[in-house]
Amino acid sequence: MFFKKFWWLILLLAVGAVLFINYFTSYKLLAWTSRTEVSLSETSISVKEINEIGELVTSEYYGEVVKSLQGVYREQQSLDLRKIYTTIRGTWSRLKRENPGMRDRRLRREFRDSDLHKSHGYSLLKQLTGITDDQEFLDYVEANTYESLQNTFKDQMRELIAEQASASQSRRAPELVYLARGWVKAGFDLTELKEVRYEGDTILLYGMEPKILDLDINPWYIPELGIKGFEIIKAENTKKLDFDEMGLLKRACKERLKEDAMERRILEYALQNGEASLASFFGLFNQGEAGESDEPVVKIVLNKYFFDREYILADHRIDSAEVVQVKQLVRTDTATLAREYYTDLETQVEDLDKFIVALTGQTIDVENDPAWDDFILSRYWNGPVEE
Amino acid sequence: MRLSRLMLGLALSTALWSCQPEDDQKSVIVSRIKEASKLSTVEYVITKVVVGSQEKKFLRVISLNNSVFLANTEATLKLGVDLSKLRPDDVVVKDNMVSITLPPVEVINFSYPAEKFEVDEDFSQDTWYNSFTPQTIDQFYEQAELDIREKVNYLPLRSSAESKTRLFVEGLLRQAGYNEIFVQFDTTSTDLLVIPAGQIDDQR
Repeated sequence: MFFKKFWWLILLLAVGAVLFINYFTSYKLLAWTSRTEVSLSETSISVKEINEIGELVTSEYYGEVVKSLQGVYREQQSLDLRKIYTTIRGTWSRLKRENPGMRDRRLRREFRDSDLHKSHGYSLLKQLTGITDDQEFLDYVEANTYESLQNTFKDQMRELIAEQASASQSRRAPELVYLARGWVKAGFDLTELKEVRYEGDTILLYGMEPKILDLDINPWYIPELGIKGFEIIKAENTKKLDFDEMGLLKRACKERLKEDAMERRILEYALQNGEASLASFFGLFNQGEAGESDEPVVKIVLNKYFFDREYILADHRIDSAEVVQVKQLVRTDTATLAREYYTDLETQVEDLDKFIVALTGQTIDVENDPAWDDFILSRYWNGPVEE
Repeated sequence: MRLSRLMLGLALSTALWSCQPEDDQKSVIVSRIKEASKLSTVEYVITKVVVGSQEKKFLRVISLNNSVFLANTEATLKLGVDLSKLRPDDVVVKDNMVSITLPPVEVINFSYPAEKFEVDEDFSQDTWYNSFTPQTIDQFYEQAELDIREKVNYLPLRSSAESKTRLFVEGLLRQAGYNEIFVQFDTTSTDLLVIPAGQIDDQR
């Protein structure tokens, strides 16, 4: 009786349920009714620029990486925590430095007025340490670097980041995972060559430095074999994904590929292979009567601090281990002359200072380990200028 | 009974066949550093507009919606010569005169980077029931790359790359003290410009 009377309502509900399942879940019940046709319009290519270059590729790295969009967001979140922590540390230290006679209670009141105290990151960090009292927390921050916080609360930090990630997942955040394949090519820009000197059979080249010349993950890795550059291995809720997020993930894949190549010391290989390759090239012009080539020794002369600078800046920031490394360099190189690079200590110290200034200059926008700022202040800051 | 056994046997053999390891080329991509000696002398920046469409049809006949995708993209080609292909016979030196036969000009690097893909959000439009998936967007870029790879041969790149390479090598040799310099190219191979792909293990 009920079915006879309300057959139209039941039908409507059934149709509604099918439509809902089809459009809002991954079960495409109506897939057979519709068809999606994808096509690319024919467009031409045009040459925008022609540039004269002189690059010698001497080392190539081929590799693959896996990156997920939510993983990239988690990394950003963890970097954000570092940024917030170092800002709290800096602000608190500055307040104390600027108001030497002020009591902790008043300093705390000043600090509470700042946006930092009201931020979500501040409460997250307090939650992480388990310290509820503001003064105790600020004392802790003052006494500990972010690295020591990370070491002490390693498990809690992992849990907290996972918690934040699962909170975003519960909002059905889009997830995209790429298996990306590409290459990094390193070598020399020959146009940077400034000076050539001859010492017996040795040719000394000045001015050129090994560098990353190409870093590529193209849509295709080997098109002839159907091997893609970017292969999607997971895609969920991608209706909410925008074009910029795909770009963000692809850039992260390239960054990771570069880090892998740097970890495998691609620049050192580029230097070795570059010297060997140039030696065999010059050897061709130095053939004996019987046609045998007499290869000279080629040495590309680099600044003593070149590799230190490249590897320290590979991740675009200076961490605590790198601060220790630079301090060690300062201790040794201001006292002992490296004769294979310099003839006098003054020039060596000058280059050391240039190296430290370059490190500071190239990390000016990022949060380095606070020990770096302390080190820079102690080495180069002679106190305020007296009027 | 016999028929059912036969069917079971067929099913088992099919299952076993499908479990056999595939000759998957992808599994032999190796992460490693290789030495090279390639000189790039000229760089071409090439642009391409990618226009893709996705049409949804009801019952495969009636057009429901057509979503359009438009992106301005840029590729970079570096051309030059592979110096490791130079043999002692390719160089003749007599006092201040030098004659060198360089290997054929080739594409040293091809880059079609995602960061140079600018989606035109004003022109591109899709709807919630006919939206572009990441797979479709990547498919557009893949087809665009294949198109660039094919069309590059119709551009007069080889001759201009040869003249730039000649100038570069002459400058290099002049600095080394040679007055009379003759640079020519190996013309035995006049293949089309092959855009290099990635690497798989060449020990196979």
